[in-house]
Amino acid sequence: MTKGLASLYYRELRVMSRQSWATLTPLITSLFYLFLFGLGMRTLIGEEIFLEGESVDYVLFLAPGVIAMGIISIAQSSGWTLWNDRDWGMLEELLSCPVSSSAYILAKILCTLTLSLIQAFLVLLIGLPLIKGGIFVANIPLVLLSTLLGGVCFFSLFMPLMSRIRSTNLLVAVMTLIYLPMILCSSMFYPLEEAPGWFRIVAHINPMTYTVDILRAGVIGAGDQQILGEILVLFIFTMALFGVSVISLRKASI
Amino acid sequence: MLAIECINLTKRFGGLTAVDHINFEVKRNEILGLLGPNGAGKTTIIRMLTTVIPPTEGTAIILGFDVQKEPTKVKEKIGVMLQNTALERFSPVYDNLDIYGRIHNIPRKERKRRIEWLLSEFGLEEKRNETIRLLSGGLQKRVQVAKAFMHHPDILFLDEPTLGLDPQSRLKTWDFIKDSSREGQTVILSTNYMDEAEHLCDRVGIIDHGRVIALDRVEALKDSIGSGDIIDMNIEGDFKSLRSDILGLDYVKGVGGEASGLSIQVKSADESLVALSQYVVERGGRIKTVSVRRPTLEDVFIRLTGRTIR
Repeated sequence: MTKGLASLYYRELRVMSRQSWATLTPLITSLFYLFLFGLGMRTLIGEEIFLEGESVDYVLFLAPGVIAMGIISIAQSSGWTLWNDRDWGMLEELLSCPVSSSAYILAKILCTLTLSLIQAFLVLLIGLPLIKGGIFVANIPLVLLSTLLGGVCFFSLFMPLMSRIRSTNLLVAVMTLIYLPMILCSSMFYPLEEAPGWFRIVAHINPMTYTVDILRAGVIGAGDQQILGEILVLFIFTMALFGVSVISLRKASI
Repeated sequence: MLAIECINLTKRFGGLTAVDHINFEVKRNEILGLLGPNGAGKTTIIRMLTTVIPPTEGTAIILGFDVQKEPTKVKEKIGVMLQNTALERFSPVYDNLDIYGRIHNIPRKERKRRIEWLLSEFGLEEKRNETIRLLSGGLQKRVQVAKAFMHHPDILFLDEPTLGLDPQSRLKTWDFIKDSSREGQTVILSTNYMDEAEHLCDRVGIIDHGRVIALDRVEALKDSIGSGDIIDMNIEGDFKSLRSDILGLDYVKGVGGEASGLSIQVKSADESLVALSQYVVERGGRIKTVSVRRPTLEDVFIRLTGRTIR
């Protein structure tokens, strides 16, 4: 099932390393959001917001959301490499090599996760000391878990589109249509407790909400009580979307 | 054991039948040419044999493994060079060869040795660190061909390997193909170059409208349209009406033709050239040039399909 995984993973990293501008963009964007948007919003809404009855610095509140935004951007970028592979004939060639289609997808996912983890810890390393935030060392596994589940989940969400849609214009339009609501209708920018009922329903069928919540539990220790339930929901989302993406690639016309 | 066995191999795309119940066998160590015009179905046959797309009907057995049931086993035995250039466009030439070698599990030392050798053989040494997207189309094609010879599969599929190559690289590719066969590889070569098929292939299959309409040794295919000579006449004016008259002559065996003239197959050019020229002139044809040659695969194709390959 995973025949050729190591060499395909190496291929992904080597090809990515030749496009460092594309690899660095999600990290730079994350830091921009954290400092420009975060600090700007803090000026507008006040230094602190209330989360589960406790006051939290807005930039600290935003940091997990920014990491999650980086994860979805990296997943999208990995999805584009699949589209390029198909467009440039690489996918057809690779599928005639002694590697399985599952290994091909797993290599892309592993690359997504590698870059997502680097991005998450760089944001934490660069960003949090500057805003006087700290990280709960005991909760680092939660940061790792949400990054891993979120990375697989978002890549699996984009992959069927990348393997089926031929037109670049249509693909960009569809991706934007998915990406923006996922970011906006989640707990990324604001606590859901104050949001209208319909918004909360939409947010709770959005895997981004769970990714951000688990990350937030890891970074600032918020929402510890319901975190196991959130991990389970994100796990189910991830497995379902991964299954769809594998079937989709097998059925895709190359 | 046979290298390849196609059993009623068929591929339909919606209402279009691209490959229509083909049956043929390829022996080990053989170079088989698939010759046909664009759209004849050659690439679709190769894509099915290399497990990239599944057949709609029938199957193929590659060295004892069914392409549908055991695609992974098949992929371990084959190497493929696709018609379209498949390269990592943002990576340098060296990386492209190295990554391909890794995917085929070539040990590091051997991989490095083969890369250096191929870079030298295909005149790519100075381009080794250049990004693919900055290379000309011809150079990209050279990298693609070099990649195909990175490893030693039992069966090598080459889909129009010399299309877009300069003459020198084309001859180099021919040498590599012949060497591969000498070293025990079976080669399936799709081409629409007659000279390539004649020069390289042990047998040639002529493909048209998704069917194998003839498959034999080159000489046997030529003999199948009868022995004799071909007289090519470039004629001014309306020569098309002459065609049926010429076909009625007792020393004429067949008439084909391009837009600018007729290709007339005769029993012997020595005995019939003067008489045939007089016959055309008497009927108002103004002959511009005349040449005599032996039948080629192109003539075989014209005879079998009624049209030229291009």
